[in-house]
Amino acid sequence: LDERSDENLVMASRRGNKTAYAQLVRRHYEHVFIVCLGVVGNVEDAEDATQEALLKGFLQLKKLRDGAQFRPWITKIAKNLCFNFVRRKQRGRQIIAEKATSSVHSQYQNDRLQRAIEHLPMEIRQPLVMYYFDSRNVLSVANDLNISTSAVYSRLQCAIKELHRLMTGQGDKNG
Amino acid sequence: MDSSCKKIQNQLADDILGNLSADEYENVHEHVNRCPNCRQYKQALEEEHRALMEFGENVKETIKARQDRVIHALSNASQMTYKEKLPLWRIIMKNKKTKFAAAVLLIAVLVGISQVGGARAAFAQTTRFVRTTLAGLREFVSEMKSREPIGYIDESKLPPAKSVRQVPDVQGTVISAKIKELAVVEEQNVLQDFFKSENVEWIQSENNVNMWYAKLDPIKTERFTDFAGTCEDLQLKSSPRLMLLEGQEGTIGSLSAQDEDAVALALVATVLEDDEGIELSLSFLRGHSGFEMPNLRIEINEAVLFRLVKTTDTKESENDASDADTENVIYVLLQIEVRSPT
Repeated sequence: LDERSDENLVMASRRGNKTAYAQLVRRHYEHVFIVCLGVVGNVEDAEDATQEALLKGFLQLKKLRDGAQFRPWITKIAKNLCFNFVRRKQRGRQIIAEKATSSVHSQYQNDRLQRAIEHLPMEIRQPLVMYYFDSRNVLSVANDLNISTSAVYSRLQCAIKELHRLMTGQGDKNG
Repeated sequence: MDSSCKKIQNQLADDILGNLSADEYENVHEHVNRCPNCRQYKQALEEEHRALMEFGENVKETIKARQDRVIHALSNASQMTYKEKLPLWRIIMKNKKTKFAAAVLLIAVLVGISQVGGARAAFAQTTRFVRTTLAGLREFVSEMKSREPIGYIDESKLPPAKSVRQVPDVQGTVISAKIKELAVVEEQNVLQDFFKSENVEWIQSENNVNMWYAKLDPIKTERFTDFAGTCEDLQLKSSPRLMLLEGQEGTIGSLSAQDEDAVALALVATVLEDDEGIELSLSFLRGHSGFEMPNLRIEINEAVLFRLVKTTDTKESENDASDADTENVIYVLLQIEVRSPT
């Protein structure tokens, strides 16, 4: 089953074969999740959006004409859900000014990081998430976002600085 | 902070990404060694970089568990899918006239069942018109549940099995099927002990992790029904007998006493060419959960015991303080008889 193409798995899934669709889930979950995380910036929300997209995909498989295009198709569904999700949330931007200490517990550190990531502008959050959470290199990120490698470096540089500013409350946003 | 520090701090972010030339690297580190502010900034960026890497790894480690949650949710998503598989039925249910006609048909089924003497013939005939996919079954059960509970037909009240030959318009091999449902309330241990003592081998369905089956020879079948019949805490109930021509689709629907959890079965059975076995393709509907089993082969005298697990995610209930998943199990014994044409 592992070696079956997306096209074959989609065909089987259309007939209600959930084992086949589970295989598609395993194959594409991480990619969809990373895309969602890049858009919503929060692990829990990204998981919710990914799950919703994959279940919605299962129920709407008949709308997918070319089974080989499952990945871009499901990614598009997920992105749309994320954009709706972000619009609904409409949370005001706030500075997370908490003093960093060297002895922070990792969970606490993760919470602070997550909140900072969530408040990054989306155009710099997406490459940051792909770089750190999907172990992607700059070229791969550039290809996926359809931008140059220098643009990726520039956005990553900006993201790293902005993340530092959000986590420490230090410095000028433009400085 | 002077303008050179601003430039250096931009380059420190590039350094984190490994995007500095050798000359730039040397220049940056020369500055950092003599500037305490930039040194502190560099240390903070490095710490945040490590934290990001660690956080990314933590998230990756949980991907499998997150996938599993989707797949678990998927197992409960069959209802809408199967509706899409059967647009005809949806059309019927959307239109008042066709819906009325379907209701009349279903009433005819109920009348047929309630009149025990002619139950088998009526049931066999009417079920030909009931679509045997899960969507059809779901509507079937829904309609049944909306009416007065009729309970189970007492098997002892059914006419003798030989009357199958009196069913009109039946020519060819007749396959007779009935299901016995065992609703398990709290006596799991007693039942598990019984299965253990009888060496019952459970096989998990490839299509549904919540469906298990075990093949029982006639002796084990008899012991199982005796055991379930004598145990006060277990309620073994029989459905009406379904008769269908070989290869023809048929459905069995039944109501539990509590009317909370109906089970319906769609079945196609074919006698294998060598007359040594039967091939079954069947779909169960239990409440809103579907269980499918295509191409199951059994011996001609074997019965199949199914174990259907319904998982209820109590998180969905806001009033329920418990967030643990709860399971309840129903056992369905499917017995098949084959009658060759006279």
